[in-house]
Amino acid sequence: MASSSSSGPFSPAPPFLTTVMKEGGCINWAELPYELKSSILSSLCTVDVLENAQKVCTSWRHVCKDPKMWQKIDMVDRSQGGLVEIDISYFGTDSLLNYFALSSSNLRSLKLALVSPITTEGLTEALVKLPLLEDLEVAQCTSWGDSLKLVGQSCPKLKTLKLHSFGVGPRWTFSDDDALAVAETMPGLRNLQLFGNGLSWFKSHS
Amino acid sequence: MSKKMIVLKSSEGVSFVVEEAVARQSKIISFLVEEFPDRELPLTNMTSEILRKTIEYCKKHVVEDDGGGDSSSSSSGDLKEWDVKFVAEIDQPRLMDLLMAANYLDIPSLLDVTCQKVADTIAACNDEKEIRATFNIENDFTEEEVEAIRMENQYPI
Repeated sequence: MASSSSSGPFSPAPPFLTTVMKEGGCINWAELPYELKSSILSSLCTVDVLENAQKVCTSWRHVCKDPKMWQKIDMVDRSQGGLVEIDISYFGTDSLLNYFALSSSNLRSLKLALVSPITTEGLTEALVKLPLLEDLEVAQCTSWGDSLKLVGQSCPKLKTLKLHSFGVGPRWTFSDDDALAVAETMPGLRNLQLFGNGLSWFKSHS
Repeated sequence: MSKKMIVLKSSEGVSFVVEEAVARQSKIISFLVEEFPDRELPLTNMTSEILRKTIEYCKKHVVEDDGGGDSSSSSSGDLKEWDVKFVAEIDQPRLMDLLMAANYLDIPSLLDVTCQKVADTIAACNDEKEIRATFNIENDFTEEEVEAIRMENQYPI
């Protein structure tokens, strides 16, 4: 054990030095300082964290539950760009969306909630990169502005569009402009659902 | 001009004479050298073996960093390759000691390569049982916690 009476610039040794490094090395991997566990585990891909690392022991699980671990979701890379369907309801950011869009141009189905920090602009920016998108479901819609038109133009294969605005947040109204944008730019649409926009109506469009 | 040397002393009392530029790869040593010039620095919680490895790493990196400047990218590629080989040759208990040493001496690049090596080892395991066996970690979950994890990982619908 490192002697606390040793002389020199390290005396008295800062307490963590002697507790984390014992003589002859080898403390338990589960007992590594939190920041080190976090550095290690945060470079694992998301699947490894969920399927394996968090099930190892309580201290690893504690690290795996830290929101800092979830600033980047690394699953797209596993699909090698082949991702076709994703549901990120109540999760994610604009930049994550953009990352998915850039690396998954084959995406066919996207489901998400438009809650902070995801914005309409961020969603639109991602959608224009997804030319093969067929199903789009967005909860917690607010105002689309001109975005719907842009989405229609960028996603010509869109067959299903579901826009909801349940729960908290500003009321969303499906405006005449929105209706026009859908009619003009989404000729392939088979199924249009608009919920919680004050009217709560359903319309089928072929 | 002769290079300035400093002395680092391991927990076993073995002295290592190192060029100051090499030792200064460690932010802690860099600070200590300024605070306590011309003094031998006792690293009472580092074994000679780990200190030797750490110095080996710092030597390689100071040479490359010096000689490199903004030289060709192949040089930094070679260095990366060297790093990978360097950690690959270390067994697991030593790897942990080296990781702790990098953390303790504040050598960010060494900390990065050691952490990455551990992460790679974890990623190579098939399941949590293999990870526990590889790293000699005890399963300390209660049955309730195991059930909670299982439920959490199920899709809600």
